[in-house]
Amino acid sequence: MSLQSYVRPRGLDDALAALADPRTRPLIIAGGTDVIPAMRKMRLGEPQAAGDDDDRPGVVVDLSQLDELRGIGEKDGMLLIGAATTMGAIARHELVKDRAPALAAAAASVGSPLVRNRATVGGNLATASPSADTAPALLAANAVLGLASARQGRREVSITDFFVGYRRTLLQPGEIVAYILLPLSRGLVRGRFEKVGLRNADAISMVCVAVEMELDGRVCREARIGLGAVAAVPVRAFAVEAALKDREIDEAVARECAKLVHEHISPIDDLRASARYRSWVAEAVVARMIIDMACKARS
Amino acid sequence: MTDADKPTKYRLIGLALPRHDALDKVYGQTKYADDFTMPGTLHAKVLRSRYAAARIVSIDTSAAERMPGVHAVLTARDVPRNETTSKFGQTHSAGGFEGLYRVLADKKVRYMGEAVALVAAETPETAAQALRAIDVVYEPQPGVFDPVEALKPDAYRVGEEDTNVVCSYKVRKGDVDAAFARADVVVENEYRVPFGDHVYLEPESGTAWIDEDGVLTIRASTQVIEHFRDVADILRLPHNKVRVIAPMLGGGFGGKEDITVEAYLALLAYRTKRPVKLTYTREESILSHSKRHPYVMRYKTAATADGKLVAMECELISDAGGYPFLSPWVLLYSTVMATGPYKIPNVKVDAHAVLTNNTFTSAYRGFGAPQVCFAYESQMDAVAAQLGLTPLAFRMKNYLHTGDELGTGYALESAVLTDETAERALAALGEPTKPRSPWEKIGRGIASGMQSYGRLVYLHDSSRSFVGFELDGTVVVRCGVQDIGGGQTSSIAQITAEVLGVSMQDVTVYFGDTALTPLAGTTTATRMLYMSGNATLKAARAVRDALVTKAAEMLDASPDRIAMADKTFRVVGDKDHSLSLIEVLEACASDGIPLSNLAQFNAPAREVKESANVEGQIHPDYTFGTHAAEVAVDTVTGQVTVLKLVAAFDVGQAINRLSAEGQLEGGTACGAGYALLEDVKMDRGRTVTCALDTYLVPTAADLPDVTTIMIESGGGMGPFGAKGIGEPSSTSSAPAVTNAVADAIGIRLTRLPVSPERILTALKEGQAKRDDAVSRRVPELA
Ligand SMILES: Cc1cc2nc3c(=O)[nH]c(=O)nc-3n(C[C@H](O)[C@H](O)[C@H](O)COP(=O)(O)OP(=O)(O)OC[C@H]3O[C@@H](n4cnc5c(N)ncnc54)[C@H](O)[C@@H]3O)c2cc1C
Repeated sequence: MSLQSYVRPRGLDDALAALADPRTRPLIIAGGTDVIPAMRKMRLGEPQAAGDDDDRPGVVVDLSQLDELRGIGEKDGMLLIGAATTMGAIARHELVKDRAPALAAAAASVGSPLVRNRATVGGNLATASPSADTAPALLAANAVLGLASARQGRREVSITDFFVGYRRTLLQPGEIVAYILLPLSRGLVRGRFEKVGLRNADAISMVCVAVEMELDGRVCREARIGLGAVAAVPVRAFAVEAALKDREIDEAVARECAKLVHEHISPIDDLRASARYRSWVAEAVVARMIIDMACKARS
Repeated sequence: MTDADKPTKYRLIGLALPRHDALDKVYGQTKYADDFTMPGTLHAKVLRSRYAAARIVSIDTSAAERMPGVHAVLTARDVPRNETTSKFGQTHSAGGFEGLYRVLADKKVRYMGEAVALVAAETPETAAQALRAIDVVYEPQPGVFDPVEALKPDAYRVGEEDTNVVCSYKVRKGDVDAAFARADVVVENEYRVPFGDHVYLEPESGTAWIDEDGVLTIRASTQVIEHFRDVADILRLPHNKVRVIAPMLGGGFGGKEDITVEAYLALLAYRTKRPVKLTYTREESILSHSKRHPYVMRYKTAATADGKLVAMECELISDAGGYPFLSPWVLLYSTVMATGPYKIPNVKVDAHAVLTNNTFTSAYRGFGAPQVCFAYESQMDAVAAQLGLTPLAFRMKNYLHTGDELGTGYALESAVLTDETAERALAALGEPTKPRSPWEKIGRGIASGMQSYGRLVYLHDSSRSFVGFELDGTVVVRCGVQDIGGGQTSSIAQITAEVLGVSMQDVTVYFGDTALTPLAGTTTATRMLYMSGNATLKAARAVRDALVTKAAEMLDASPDRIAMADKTFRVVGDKDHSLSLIEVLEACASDGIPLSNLAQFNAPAREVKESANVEGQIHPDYTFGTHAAEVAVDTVTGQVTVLKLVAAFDVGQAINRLSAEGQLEGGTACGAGYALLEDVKMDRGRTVTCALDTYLVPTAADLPDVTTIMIESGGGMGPFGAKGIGEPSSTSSAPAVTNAVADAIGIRLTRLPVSPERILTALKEGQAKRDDAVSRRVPELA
C-alpha cells in the first residue's frame, strides 16, 4: 500500500514539520476538491507494482482545520485571508464583497455550493490550474502571498511571480501558502470578475477575467487585468493596462486597448473551447468590462 | 401551473398524491442495487478493449488466475453461448430484426470499451490488479468512425458481415418531386445531432448469486427484468433457473434497456458459486453503455404560398456504433415520425442505420423521435419565415388531427390536440423579457412533437398484474414492473386504490421480480403505465366485481345499485343497509370466492409485412404536445440563458399529477440539455468525455422552473384514458430552445448542441447557414 498515514496537525509548526521530510512523500490536502479526484487515479489501495519507484503519496497532511490558516480580516489597511479559508466563506464575507468585489465574485463562481464549502483559496492557487478562478482576481488586486516552510521559514512573494509554468508554482518542497494579502480597494477603485463557462455551476472557465480600475470620472488612473484559461498560467494583461492608463474611456478606447490582450495570451484548444473562441472572448470580455465599469463610474 | 383545482370524476385518479416511496428517497433509505450485499461476496471487474477496431491475436489470463484472491478470469471461450441473436428480451419474439449480442469480444473488437474479459476476486483492488495482469495482444485495424464513410462500398467492415448497413427503411407517399416543382417555397437543410449519454444518477450495478434452490438470481439495476431469458440462453440454462430482481432504479432513460451487468454477474457467480457484485464507475458507465444515436439528417420541405405543407423529403443516417442492439427499431421510430405532427400529402423518407467503430448506440428517451423532431421543427420555423408567417400560424395550418394520415398511411385514431398545446404553450411565455444589456438578445421559440407510447404493434405486447385483498382489507398487487424513478409502482397503487375503494396506503405493490411478480414487460417505450396500468385496472375491476356481486347478494339488492368506497358497500339511495369491506371479504372467503385476480392486458396487435417499405400502423398510439422557450443570448460570448420553459401536453388523463408533472419537467430539462450542452465527444472511437466534468448536463442553476400545462382529453389508450408522457415530454424540448436561439440571433444553427462557440462562430463569421427567411422574419410569434 502506498498510503501509510493521514495527519491533521494541531498547529502550523506541526504541519510544516510533517511536510519537511520528502522521503515520507507528503501530500497536502486542504478542501480536497482537487486532491481527492487526483487520488482516485493513484490506486492508493494497491501494492506497489514490482520494480516501479513508488511516487504515490505516503502521508496526507490535512491543513483544512488549522486555525492559523483560516479566517478573513484587516491588517495594516490590507485584507488578510488565510490560505485554508473556503471559497464559500470568502464569497459571503462582507468586507471582501465590499472592498474586493472581484475576488468575492471569483470565489462565488467556483464549482457549486458543495464545492465552495470545501474548496480553499490556497488550494486553488497551489493547484495552479490555468483556469483557477481566484487567480485572475488576485492578479488584478496585486495580491501578496505569504509562504511558509520548516526549512526556509516565512517569505512573501507577489502573485505575479507565483505561477512559473503549466501547473507549476514557485513553492518549494514542504512549503505552503499560508495567507494572502491584498490591498483593500479605495473609493475610486472598482473590481469586477467575469467567468465564461459552459454552464452556471460546476463548470471550469473557458475564459475568466478580473479587472480592477481606478477611475477619475471617465479617466482611467490605473488598471490591472488578470485572465485565466487563456495561457499555461493565469496572466496579467500589462499591455492593456498600460494603454488604458490616463485615458478617457469610451467604447472605442476600450475596444482598441482590449486588442492588446493578445500580447499576453496563448490559448489552446481543449474539450471546452477552441483557442480561437478563447481569443475572441478574452478580448471582447475585457472590452465589455472596461466599458461597463466606465459607464458605472459616470452614472 | 396546473389545472389541479378542477373537480374530477375520480376519487384518487388525477390527484397530486405523494408517492409511497417519496419519503424513503428523501431520507436516503431507498435501497438501490449497489446497496445490497450478500455475505461472502466477490467483486467483479471488466477488462475493456483499449482499441476501437482491432483483431484479438491472443489473450493470456494465466498471471491473473494465479494471483491470490482471484477466483475467476473469464474470456469468450468460457461463455457457454457467447453469441445470441437478441430479440430484445421481450415476451413476444417478433420477426424483423435480430441484433447480434456478443457477451465478450471474440477475435475482433468493434468499439473501445467492449468487454474482453471478466474477473471476480476477494476485493475490488485485487480484481483491478488482476485486470492489469491479463495480457491481450491486439492487432489494431483502421476502423471507421463516420456513418457516412461507413456506407461507402470499400469502407472498413465493422462486423463480420460484408456490409456496415444494419438496416434501411423507406416511406413513400404521393410524389415529392412533382410537389417540389409546384411549391412556392422549398427549404433544404442538413442537420446533425451528437451522441448522448443517459447520465442516470445510479450507474449500472448488480449482484448475482445461486439461491438455496439452485436458481441463479441476479439483483440488478435494469429496465428489463425479462433479460432473464437472455441470461439463461447465454449460460445454456433452462429459463426457469434464472431469476432477475430489479430494486428501485436511480434512473434508466433507455440506457438500462439492453443487458448491462447481468450476463457478467451470472457467468461469474455460476463459475465461482459465490455471490458476485459489480458496480460501474461513472467513467466505465459512460465508456461502455449505449449512447443516443447521432444522426445526419437531410431535410427538404415545401409549402404553398398560403402556408400549406405539400412535401417533405428526409434522408436519415444513424450511427449504430459497434453492434446493432436496438438501432433497427430506433431507426424505425425515426422513419415513422420523421415528418412530425403535420399533415403532408407527399412524403419520402429514406433511412439507414450504419455500423461504425464508435460506442454502440441504442435506446435513449425518445427512441429516435428527438433527432428528427429537431430537424422537422427547425424546418417548420425556416419555412414559416420564408412565407412570412409566424411559427405558430404556420403550424396551426398544418397540424395533424384525428383521422388524418401519417406518411405511412396510418390514420390517427385517438385524440390529437396539438393546436391547443401550441397556443397554450406560447401564451404561457407571457410578456417578453427585456434584454439586461446592449450585449444581450432575447428570442422565443416553439416546437411541437409527436411520440409513440407503447411498443411496436407487431410485437404483440402484453402485461400481467395480480391484485388481491387480504382478509383485513389491505391490498396486495404483484406486477413485474421496473420502477425506474418515474413513480411506476405508485401509479399502480393509485389505480388499484381508486377501483377497490381503499386508500393508497392500503395497497402494497410487489414489483420487479421474475420469480414472484407476474411478468409485466419492460419499463421502456413509454409503455408501463399504459400496459401495466391497464392490466392492473382489469385485475382490480375483476376483484371489485366479485365483491360487489357478493355484497349485492348479502344486501339483497342488484349489483348495479351497490357502491363500493371507503371500505364500505352501500345500496345507492338506501342509508340503512351497508356492509363493511371485512364482512364481505369474510363471506367471500368462506364461500370460496377468490379475493384476487391475475389479469393480462394485450395491446392491439397488427402484423407488419417484413419489408423496407414502412406502411400502415406501426405504433399503438401517439402523444402530442408543444414546448415553448424564451432565451437570452450573450452576443459577446455566445452563452445562452434559458429564461422560460413551457411544456404543454395532452396527457389523456393524469393518474398521479405530481408524477406526470415530474415527467414534463424532467423531460423538458433533458431536451434543453440536448439543445445546448450535451455532447459525448469521440475521437476515432475513443470517448474523450468520460466523466461528468467533461460530459456536461444542465444543473439546477442552468434552467428556469418549467411551466407545465396538462390537457386531459381522456382520449388515450391507457387506464382512464391516459396517454404516455415519459418520452414525449422530452422530444420537442430541444427544438423549442434552438428555435428561440435562432429567433434571438437571426441565424439558424443546424447542429446540436448549440454551444456558445458555435453561436459565436455563427455570429462572427456569418458562415453558418443563414436562413434568409429569418432575417425577413416577423418578430411576433403569434
Ligand atoms: C466539482 C468541482 C468543481 C470545481 N469548480 C471549480 C471552479 O469553478 N473554479 C476553480 O477554479 N476550481 C474549481 N474546482 C477545483 C477546486 O475546487 C479548486 O481548485 C479549489 O480551490 C481547490 O482547493 P482545495 O482546498 O479543495 O484544494 P485541495 O484539493 O485540498 O488541494 C489542491 C492542491 O493544492 C495543494 N494545497 C492545498 N492547500 C495548500 C496550501 N495552503 N499550500 C500549498 N499547497 C496547498 C494540495 O497539495 C493540492 O496539490 C472544482 C473542483 C470540483 C471537484
